[in-house]
Amino acid sequence: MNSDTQLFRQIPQDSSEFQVTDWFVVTDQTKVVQKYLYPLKVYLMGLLARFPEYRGDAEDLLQDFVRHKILQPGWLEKADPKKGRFRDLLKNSLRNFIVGEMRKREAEKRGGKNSAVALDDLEQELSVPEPLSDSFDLSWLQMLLTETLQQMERACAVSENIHVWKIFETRVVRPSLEGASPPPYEELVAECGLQSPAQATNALATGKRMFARHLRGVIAQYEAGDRAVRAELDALRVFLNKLLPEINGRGTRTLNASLV
Amino acid sequence: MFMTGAEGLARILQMDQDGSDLWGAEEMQAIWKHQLSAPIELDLSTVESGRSSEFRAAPDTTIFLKKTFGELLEHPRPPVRLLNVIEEFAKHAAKESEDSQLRQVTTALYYASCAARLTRCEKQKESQDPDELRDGFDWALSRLWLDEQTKHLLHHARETLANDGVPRAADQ
Repeated sequence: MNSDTQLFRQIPQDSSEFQVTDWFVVTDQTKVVQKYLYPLKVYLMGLLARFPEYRGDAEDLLQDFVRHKILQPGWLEKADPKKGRFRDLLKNSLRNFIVGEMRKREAEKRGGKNSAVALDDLEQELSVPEPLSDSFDLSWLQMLLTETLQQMERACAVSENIHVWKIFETRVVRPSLEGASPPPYEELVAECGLQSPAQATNALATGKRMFARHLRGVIAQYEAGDRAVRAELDALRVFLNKLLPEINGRGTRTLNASLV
Repeated sequence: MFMTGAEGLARILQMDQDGSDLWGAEEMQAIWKHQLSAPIELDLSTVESGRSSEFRAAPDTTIFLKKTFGELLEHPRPPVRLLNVIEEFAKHAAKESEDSQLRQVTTALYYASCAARLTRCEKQKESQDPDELRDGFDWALSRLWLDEQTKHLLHHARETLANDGVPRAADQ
């Protein structure tokens, strides 16, 4: 395990193996807080980057958002798939909450004749979606993939197919995370004790299938229905493609946004 | 993971999509070499036909099951029934595999087995169309990753076909 994969351990684990779309999971406030705190925190730091005097309050503001919004009974029930993506709800709610909090605090300061931020500028400043929104979506994707890989590793261990995880981790995960060349075929099959190309190919193909299944399972925790899950995957690919023009120019394949 | 940028995330997410090759093109040679060094018994255990089971249970043939595909293809007198079962396995694997690279390897194995049968076994009534076989040998010969020994076998089989299925005397 490298330092990146060790970070998997820091993410709260969800015991459900094969997730189906289940709004109960989404509307379980504690789980939502645990799962999505990291992207929210990254997004908040981005929001506050232009307001140095508030940076020190980031932790308090986030706690307030969790306490006064997410943990309020009925608040998460507003996450209606028909009205948009769940991650957009969280993101927009946090932004609106911060705008409200800052307006309140600034008004208090103004009452005390000590306004650090012009109120007229405040909303405009915070309403600019890019690149702050990117930091949230990137963190979200990191969270999704971390949980996906965690679930996959656990499933491989439970089904005594640890070689599937090993070959997937060695061949796909580490090279992707570290940008290193994957180990040569001979080395990999020797390490995993695979005796024929059919075994090796089947193990890697199984790994790819498991990854795809778990990824959809993780997304299905917050997006309802196959169509919404696929739309979320497409949206994440489009988002990454937008961030990767330079990389694509250097030869990396553009992620195909077509439905899987 | 949380230090991974968009490029790394894109690479992992790419795995969610069908169609990407599992192995690098430069690894095909190593995969073919691995196929030749694989124990016959291991791969044939995936063939569930009656002929395969009957063959695998026959005491006079079990000695060959311990050999590798490479050893069998090099053998001066390989048992024709075993070659038939290998062809069955290779055809099945080529048909069933989701991976195009494994399909190439098993298809090459199929034609290598046909070539061994044609050149090293007693002439039998050939069930396959000679032109199709020739096309298959040519296809296999055009694989850049094929080893020299297998290429030699395929060339020999091609000549045998041209000679109406009779191997050259020197090769018998």
